[in-house]
Amino acid sequence: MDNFKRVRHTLAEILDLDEGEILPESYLVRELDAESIDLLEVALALSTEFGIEVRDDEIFLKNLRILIADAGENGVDPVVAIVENLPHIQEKRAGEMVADLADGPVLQVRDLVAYVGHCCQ
Amino acid sequence: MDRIVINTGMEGFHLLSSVSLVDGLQIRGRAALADPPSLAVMECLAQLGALHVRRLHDFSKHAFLLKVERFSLAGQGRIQGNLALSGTLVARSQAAFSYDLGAEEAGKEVCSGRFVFSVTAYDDRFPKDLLMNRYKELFACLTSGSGIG
Repeated sequence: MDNFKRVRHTLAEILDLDEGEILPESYLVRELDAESIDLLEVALALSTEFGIEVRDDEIFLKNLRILIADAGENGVDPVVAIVENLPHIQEKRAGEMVADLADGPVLQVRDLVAYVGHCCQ
Repeated sequence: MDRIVINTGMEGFHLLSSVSLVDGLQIRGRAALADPPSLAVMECLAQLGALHVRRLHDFSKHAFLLKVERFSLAGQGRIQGNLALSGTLVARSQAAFSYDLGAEEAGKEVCSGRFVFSVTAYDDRFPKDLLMNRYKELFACLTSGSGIG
């Protein structure tokens, strides 16, 4: 089973959703209504499923806005700051995140997939 | 907002009487329950697991019970007496910790379950000065005489 299917299965169980409702581009908070307590469970379940120690700050992009604000203050390109600090995020995706910030939390299912894939390398 | 008063029906909040083993994955301890409210043993297990989580973080974070995933009782009677408690860390992330916890009395399992804990930074609600020292002292008291450093 590929990583997306395994992540989707985990999310479906914890968020009580049908797997068909969960797409790679689904926003966890905006669309799937994941709450902070759900995310704790997701981190634990992914740790078990993939045999990795999930760092909640990184997988859930908890410091993303601080990172971008700091980059702005220091004259650093926010996309570069994201890629340097969150190595599982590709440059293209980082650019999408920066453009998407105003609409709310940017975390998508594919970001979790990228994280577990990066940890399992 | 109305104040909520919770009465446990017990004399004290801390139910553990000793901790005999702690390492990175396991914790064992004891609790002596005399005529406790029903399911007080569940609170014992939660306290044991939370203490292990606090120890893992060297008491630098506040730990709390997030969820009881499953819990089963071996019999129908109220659990009391001198209980041997044990817990094993079965999965963890940066902020969540899953334990298999159980209790035995006279060598027979009386209950077991899977408990999930989380940690959070100390703040206004959970003041560091108060709680960090409090749980450090509690841990020292519970482990005194057990040989645990």
